[in-house]
Amino acid sequence: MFEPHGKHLIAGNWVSNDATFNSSPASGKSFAYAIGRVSDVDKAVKSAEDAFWSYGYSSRAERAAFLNTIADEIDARAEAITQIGSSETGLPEMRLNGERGRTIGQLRLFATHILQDDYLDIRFDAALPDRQPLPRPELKMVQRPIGPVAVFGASNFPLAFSTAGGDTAAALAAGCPVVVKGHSAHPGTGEIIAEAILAAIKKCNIHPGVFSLIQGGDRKVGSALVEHCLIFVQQGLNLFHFLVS
Amino acid sequence: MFDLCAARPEPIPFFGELGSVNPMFIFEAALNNRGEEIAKGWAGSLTMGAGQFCTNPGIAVVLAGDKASAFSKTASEALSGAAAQTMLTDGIASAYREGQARIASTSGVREVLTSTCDLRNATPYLYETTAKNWLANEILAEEVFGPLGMIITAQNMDEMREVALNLQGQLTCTLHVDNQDATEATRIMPILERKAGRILANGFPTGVEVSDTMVHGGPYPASTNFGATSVGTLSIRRFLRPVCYQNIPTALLPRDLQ
Repeated sequence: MFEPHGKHLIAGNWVSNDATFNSSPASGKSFAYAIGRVSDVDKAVKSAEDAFWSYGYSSRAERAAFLNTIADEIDARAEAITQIGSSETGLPEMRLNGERGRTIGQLRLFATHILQDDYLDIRFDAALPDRQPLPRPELKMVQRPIGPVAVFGASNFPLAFSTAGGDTAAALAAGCPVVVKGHSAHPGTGEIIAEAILAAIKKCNIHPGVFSLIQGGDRKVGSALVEHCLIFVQQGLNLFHFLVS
Repeated sequence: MFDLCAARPEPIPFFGELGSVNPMFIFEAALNNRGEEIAKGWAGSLTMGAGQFCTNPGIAVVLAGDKASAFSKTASEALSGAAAQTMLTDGIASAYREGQARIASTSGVREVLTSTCDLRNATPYLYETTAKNWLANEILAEEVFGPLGMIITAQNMDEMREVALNLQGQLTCTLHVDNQDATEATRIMPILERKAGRILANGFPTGVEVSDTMVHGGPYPASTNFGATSVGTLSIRRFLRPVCYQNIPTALLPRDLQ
């Protein structure tokens, strides 16, 4: 039985807050989770920016190994993930087992994808020193990571489009550190996935600012993330919680 | 969220999916030859995961007539067998019922299958309206997140194309076509290409492959960014930016260019 501690993961540290919100599971026990503060967002985003100076310049092989290790660590927690996920969302176990497979598959697919270099769209214009009336210099083009990214977990895919879902996998594959704002519908699921990512960060010896999870519970967390000058935003698959809350 | 991103001193891209009804267009021969089979398949797709998929097919457009009535009856029977399912949150469940009430109270909408669901549960609903009435009521084009279906009956193929032309941006559009439908289907394809990120034939849009060719996105409001996908390997593009290096010494180039 997985017992969440209810903390945020900020740049490698589990951070609590006296102010908490309680989860609303479809079945099973409710737990208390730290409410996100603007200061938590600030710490996470600044660490993500720090991490970018190494992670954004890492080799594709290093990032592929990191993605595969996250997949391994999620796999290692399979049973507990399904148990807390099913309790929180009411989704049947079979669906969550399938969604975990999809999540692991996405991470591994991106690992394979970046090992090939076609996603970089490398272009090359040779120098034309004798061109008239003016010579042309040598020109090269490559796709570079944009920097730290904010990902908002989606309510309808607690695994495949949340903490370590497709958005996070794609951003990490590109070389972008990620700050996730967890969805308050499945905070425990978010926590155990964050635990898996932290284990992978340690195993691969990557800057801990590359990933943070800030639990929801306060809409200020979302707007603080968006307003932070150092970040780009990816909303998860579905904006529904903004429309209804 | 979109406004916040745009209002920053330094605006940033925002990728969000704001809604999609994922219409299905069922052509004449396909309806005649296998309408029942399509209706049963639709009921399965519509209720999968309590209808909480962004590619949930909320609308089926058919040509009015006996076959359309049979389609509606089969879909209703198949849906009525679906048990209540728990939704993801209380908020989603209450929004589902609000959406259902909004559809039910729109003029010209006929109730085919009703149910009662409470608390955090969802049960299916099925409604029917004419293409003319759908075109006259913009509210009917809005997504209801959950297992709610609407059949739109068109008097002729011109009306069916008119529905397609008036769609908002969609994640998916589906065609059910047999060989005899080829001419009409060819005429609707250019419209659907402008509306959707993914067009599929003779299947259902729930079940999004994670692969190299997948596009999970589309024109607004399906996505806030029509040039991007959030599923599949192409989704990495959202996190990349092209940089040109002019006359830069090799040692200073990023390692992928060295």
